[in-house]
Amino acid sequence: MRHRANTAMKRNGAYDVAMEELEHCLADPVTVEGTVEAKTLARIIESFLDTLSEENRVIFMRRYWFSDSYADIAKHTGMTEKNVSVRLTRTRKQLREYLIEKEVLV
Amino acid sequence: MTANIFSDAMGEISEKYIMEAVSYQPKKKHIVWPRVRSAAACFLLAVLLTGSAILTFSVEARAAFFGWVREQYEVFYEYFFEGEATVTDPEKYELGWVPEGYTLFSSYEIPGGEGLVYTDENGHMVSFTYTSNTSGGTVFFVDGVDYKQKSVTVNGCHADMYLATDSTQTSSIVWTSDETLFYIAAPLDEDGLITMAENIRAKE
Repeated sequence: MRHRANTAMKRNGAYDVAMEELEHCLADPVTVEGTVEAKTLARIIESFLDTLSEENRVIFMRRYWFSDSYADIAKHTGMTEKNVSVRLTRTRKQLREYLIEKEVLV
Repeated sequence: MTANIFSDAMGEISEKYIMEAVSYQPKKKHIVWPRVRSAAACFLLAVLLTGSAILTFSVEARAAFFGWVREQYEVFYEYFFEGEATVTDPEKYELGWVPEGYTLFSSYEIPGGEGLVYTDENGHMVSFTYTSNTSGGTVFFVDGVDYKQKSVTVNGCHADMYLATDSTQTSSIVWTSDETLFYIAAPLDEDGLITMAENIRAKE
C-alpha cells in the first residue's frame, strides 16, 4: 500500500516535529531542489535504507514515517532513548552524505 | 531541499519498509517474515465499479459521483474518495476470525481508520486495514495490476479480489461498506479471504 504524500497517514503534528530534525540535514543553499521528483527521491531513500542495518532502518522509519517519539522507539526496539538519539543522529548524517553522493544535494 | 520534499518522498516509500518497522522485534524475539511482507496492499473501489466506468467518460457524472473511486496509475491502482465525506466518528474494526495460530501483533493509525497486523508463530502475516476517509483526500496506491482479479461478494457487498499469481505476491480482497474502505491481505486462498472479510467486527 502506498500513500500519496500530501495525504499520507503519517501526516500529523508529531510528524512535523520529526521533520524539523531533518531540516538541518537536508537544507542546502545550493540544492538541486525542484529537479528531483518525490518518486525518484523515494527510490533513492529506499536504496539508502537498504544500506542501513535492520535496527537503524526501523528506527529511521519509526521516527520519520510513524512520527514516533524517542521514548516509543526505544520501547519498540528495546534500546535506550539515548541510543535511539545517537543512532538517528548518525543516520541523518549518513543520509546527507548519501544524498550528496547521489547528487540530490550538492 | 526542504523537509517537505523529503516528506513527500517518504509518502512514496515501499510498504516493505513500513511493515518491517511495524513488525520489528528485538533480536531475541526476532520473527522470520514470510514473503507476504513484501506484498503490496490492494485498496480499490469495491462498490462503485459501475460508477467508475461511467466516470471514465463523463466529467459531469464524476462531479455528481460520491464514493470510492479507482483509477489506474502506471502500474498501480489509485483509490480515492470522490465527494464530501460524512463520517465524523468512524467505527473501529478488527478481524473476528483469523486462521488458527494467528494473533494480533501490531496496529497503527491511518487517516480515518487503522491498520492491524496479525501473525502466527511461523511469521506468516495477515494485514487488515480500513479507512472512513474522515480526513478527506486520502489516496492509496495499489500494486494489483499484475494480479488475477475477480469479483466476489462480502456479506452481500461487491468486493474485488486480487489473487496472487506467483510466490512473490499475496492475495487480497477489498470492499466498501457505506463510506468505509476495507482491505485484507493474507497468504490464503479465495475462500479464506472471504471468510475473514465476512467476519470483521466493530471493536467493543
